[in-house]
Amino acid sequence: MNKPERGIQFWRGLTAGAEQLQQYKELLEVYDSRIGSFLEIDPVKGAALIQDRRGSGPLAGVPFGVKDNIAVKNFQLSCGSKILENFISPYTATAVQKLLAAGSIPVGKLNLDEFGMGSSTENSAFHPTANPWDHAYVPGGSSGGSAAAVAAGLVPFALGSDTGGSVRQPAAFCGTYGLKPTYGAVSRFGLTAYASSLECVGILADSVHTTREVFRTIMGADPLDQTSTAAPEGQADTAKSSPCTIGVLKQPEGLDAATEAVYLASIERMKDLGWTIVPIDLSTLEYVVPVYYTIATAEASANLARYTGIRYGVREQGTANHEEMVRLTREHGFGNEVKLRILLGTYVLRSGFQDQYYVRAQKIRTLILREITELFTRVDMMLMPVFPVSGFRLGSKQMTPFQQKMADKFTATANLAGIPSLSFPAGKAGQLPVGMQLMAPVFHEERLFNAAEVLSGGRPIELAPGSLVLPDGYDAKAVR
Amino acid sequence: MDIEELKTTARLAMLELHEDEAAELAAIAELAAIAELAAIAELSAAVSGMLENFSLMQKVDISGLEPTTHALSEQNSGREDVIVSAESSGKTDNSGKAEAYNLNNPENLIERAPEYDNNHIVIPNVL
Repeated sequence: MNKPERGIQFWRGLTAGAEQLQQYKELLEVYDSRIGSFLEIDPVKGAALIQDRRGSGPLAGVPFGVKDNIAVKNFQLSCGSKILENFISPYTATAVQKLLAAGSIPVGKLNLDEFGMGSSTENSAFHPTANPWDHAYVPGGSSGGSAAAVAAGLVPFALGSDTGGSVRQPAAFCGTYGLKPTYGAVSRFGLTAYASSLECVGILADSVHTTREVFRTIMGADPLDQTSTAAPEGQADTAKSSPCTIGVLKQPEGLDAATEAVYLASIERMKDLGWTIVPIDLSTLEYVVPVYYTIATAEASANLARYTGIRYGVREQGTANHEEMVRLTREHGFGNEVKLRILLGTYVLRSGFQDQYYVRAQKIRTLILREITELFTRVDMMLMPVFPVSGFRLGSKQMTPFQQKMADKFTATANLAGIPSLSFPAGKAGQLPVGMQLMAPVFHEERLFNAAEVLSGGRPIELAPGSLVLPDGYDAKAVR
Repeated sequence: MDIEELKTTARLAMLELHEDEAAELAAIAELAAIAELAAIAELSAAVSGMLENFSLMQKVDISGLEPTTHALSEQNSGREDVIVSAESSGKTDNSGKAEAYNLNNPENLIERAPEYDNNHIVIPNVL
């Protein structure tokens, strides 16, 4: 009786009517108190945003969570920062609006590293989030709340954002699917800007099927985001199905033993499926981190200049003049990681240093792009680790912030090249899930879905121990 | 990064770095053993660590390369210079109302300011 059925009926049951929504809210509060994945929980308010949740579409009546750097009208939009602690969004992001139109219900806002800057969600100004698989471990980041909520069975999917791996790395740590789409495939209108030439709205979900449905719903050009693009005509039809040709790293350096074992096991599994494995060298891989952080911090320093305490957010009180107000608002409003990145970005853009850092990074980005483009003339997809280690403990010195940044090299490659990448559950390291990622050429998300569908045998993810179950006597279908 | 460079950068970034903190930092720099104790010294060390990593880029021959500013299209995405209503641009909720995006409702944005008076945002003296 307690065993949850995670099909669409299970989720629709939870949102079927006012009484069910209230019960769902209470269930979410109880279950989330153990992991801290949400910053705001309110399915009742979310349901009020949509007209029709009883449609026949695949997402109608299905609940979802939203990373708290993506706007949902009437919900908070804190970005995990004190500087936006009191901010209630006056509008809704395009990706969310498309889900509302499909009848899907936003149930709350999810925790993150401040402004998406981090790999553990410990940089949230509010509270840490625990990995549902082992509460002593981080869920990854920066979309750690999104990954934890999906892994704990609180929602079937959540929106996140991926600037250098922020969807795929927490997905890997929590054992969910995590899609970073092609740059521009999903509108960024309503996503709080961090690094505009790199970031994407992404999806964390409990199955390939759900990931695909959500992607098909939120993709497309949007007049409110000038960088958004529609996929070229007929692109979805060219998706290769199994068997395919996969490029794999000849020497995946710096992996811990468990991650390396899962990487090699994934290659074996693909060979068993009859796929062709092509060992590749990625000569530009060693430059990915400095290029990525030069560009990301430069863009961040410009994008975060808007937080002045003038037009919105928290303002320092009792200051003598305008300039002091801005400085103190920023000093007290931003956390250390954000200040570090603003300082770095300001430095690399300073006159006299631009050629040495920012312009040089953009030129090496051209080299990276060329190498990736050439690779995809020989292989259909690339298999890469997501993160070099399988997890680390909350509040520990196991990985310093510097080491966490160096570990972004496998994921940030896709952001620099603008290509889509799907992180999928590929094994375990003891209790903790380990994820791998497949990368495909631009606008070939369907190729990723098809491959992951074959790899998973169509099965959804394994939920973490202690995931949400309905109490005895709960009759979700009563209203429907 | 030395203290003067950090101060200049912080000033450009509109981040506060008090004179006395800078003096303290200079003192701490001479006492490397306690440098870690000061958050600001940590920040300075973190900046230096990343800049050292960035210097890896000096190894690459970049002659003849054009910078990539965006991964996909390099061409500008333009549109006709005409007023487009939220309704006709598809920016509506599923009942067809533009209200969902609040694109026609500037009052809603003014109300987000920490202090405002009628249609004006109030800030401390500029001069």
